[in-house]
Amino acid sequence: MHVDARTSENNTLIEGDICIVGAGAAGITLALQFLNTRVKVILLEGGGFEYEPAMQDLYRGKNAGLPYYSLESSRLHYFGGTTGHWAGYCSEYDEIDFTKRDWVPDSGWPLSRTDLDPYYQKASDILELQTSMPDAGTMKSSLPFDTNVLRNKMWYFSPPVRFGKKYRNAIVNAENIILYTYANVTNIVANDTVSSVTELTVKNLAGKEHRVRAKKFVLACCAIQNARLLLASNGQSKKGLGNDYDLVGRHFMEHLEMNAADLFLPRPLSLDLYRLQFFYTKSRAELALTEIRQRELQVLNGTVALDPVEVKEEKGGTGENAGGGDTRQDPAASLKGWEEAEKYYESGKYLKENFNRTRQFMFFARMEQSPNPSSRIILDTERDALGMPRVVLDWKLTSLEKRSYRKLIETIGVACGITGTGRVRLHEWLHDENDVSWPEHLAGGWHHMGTTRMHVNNKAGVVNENCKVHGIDNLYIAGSSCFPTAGSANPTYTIVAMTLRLADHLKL
Amino acid sequence: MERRRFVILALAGSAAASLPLSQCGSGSSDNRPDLLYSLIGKSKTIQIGKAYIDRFPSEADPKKLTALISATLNEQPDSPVNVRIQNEFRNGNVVIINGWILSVTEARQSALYYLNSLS
Repeated sequence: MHVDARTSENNTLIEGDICIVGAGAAGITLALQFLNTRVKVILLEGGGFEYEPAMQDLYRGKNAGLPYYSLESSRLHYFGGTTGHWAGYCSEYDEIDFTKRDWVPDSGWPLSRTDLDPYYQKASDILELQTSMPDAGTMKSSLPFDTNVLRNKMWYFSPPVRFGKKYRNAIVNAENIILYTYANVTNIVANDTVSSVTELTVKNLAGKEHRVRAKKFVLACCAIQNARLLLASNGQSKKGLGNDYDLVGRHFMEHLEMNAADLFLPRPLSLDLYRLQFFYTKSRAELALTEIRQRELQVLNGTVALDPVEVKEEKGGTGENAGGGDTRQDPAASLKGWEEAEKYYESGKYLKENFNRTRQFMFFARMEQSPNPSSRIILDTERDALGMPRVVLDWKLTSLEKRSYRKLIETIGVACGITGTGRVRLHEWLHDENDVSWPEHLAGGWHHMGTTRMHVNNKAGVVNENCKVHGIDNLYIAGSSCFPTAGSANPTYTIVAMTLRLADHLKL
Repeated sequence: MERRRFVILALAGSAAASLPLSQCGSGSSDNRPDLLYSLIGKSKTIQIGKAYIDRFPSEADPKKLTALISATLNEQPDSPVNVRIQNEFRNGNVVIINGWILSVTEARQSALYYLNSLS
């Protein structure tokens, strides 16, 4: 069932068993787990079904730290959320991503990779992934590196599933799920002891205000907005809900994604295992350090994709450079860029033959950001059109990210030397090992994580191992804001897996 | 074979007499680090060589460089030169010059190539 909250009578009381705030990958996944059950689900989406600048403007904020994308362009504010412009990259988090690493402050999850494995399997269906290994012929094209040092980390490619399109009918037609669009939560109201949520305040630009009551509430509106909502709900608790220990909004993390080096081959090699053709490739490998070598070098987890240099000269990219306009700052240009990139790749002009003919590859390297309490979201004094304080992002990195980048590339460069594969040249921003600054083209993967981090101890985390906010018995959080560390892989696959795990917990 | 020729050329002159007989070739005058040269060409190889000398000015002497290269390569006289360079990578005898991740020997070869290009 669907209700446009702009058309509801003002001050409507909406009631259900579970209220999910946000209809993106996490929110829709969670709602679907209760499909055709006796649980009455209220799914609140701030936007409508299409992109609207006025909705997007509610996400506008300021960047006070390292250069970053405009906040209103980095998330989509409509049904389906940011899956409306994601590229479909999926890979499981590695076992080491969940472990406590002495050289990574605040690392360690209260669950293991094994705990998540069954949920990854189920998530692969939701994301339409084919997670089987490539055929034997493709596997033979693996680079001949020492497997004690380097490994092939597999990535799987969603078509990509646009949640807003794929799951709209299932949600709207469900008898036990009521989707409210144009229902922006502006406040969370708790009981007198602030130990339980009693209701949410919902507003929209049509001037309507409603209340939502449920037994359980789940925030699933992205890492920035989850933190913003908790911080802004400060009527009863001055520092905001779940923020007794000043953790909400801290530990904001991204995945760094930057060209880092070039590989020169004396002769073309068959490297099909590493090849990506958008909309054709179902899986491919990227190079990564083994867990043993990560521990020896005391570095973060990262991966390196091999991009043939010729491809770099073609139009397309991952959508960030296509479409004209300033895609880092303008949300409309960003969306248009992704759509144009899709058309381009779907056209099949994607240099099918070049990969195995080229003798030069660019290393496109992804690196996790270490948890850093100084990298954070705070509330601004400026308010949006609904009266909500806007956010300020103070994005900060440490020297560990830079050193990890360099060590990863160095290790691959040495492996190329040992095997006679070729030679590697670091890009200039990595030349000086003593330089901890970041270049102008510093770029993240548009991934936001960590702002309501998970920890069994309420002094070290906002949510517990079941994603329940510490100290509040019926408030949960879904999505990457709960991630204690960023891992090396893009977050969507793990967001969906973690949400499935949360659904199981909520069903108990 | 090309690598062997390079070594001979690198050692041309003062140190040639110290070479093991197995490394001697036809005596071509084409003096260069083969693999690197084949990947990036003359001018960039020279740039690397110059950068190496800038970083290690004490080695800005063809005779000294020749001796250093000879000493390293002669540690494994029965192996082809490319294998010896691969072993240098394996043993961590690596240097980064202008961002290039190189074995020390091939970096010195580049430096020698640069110095020879000046004359």
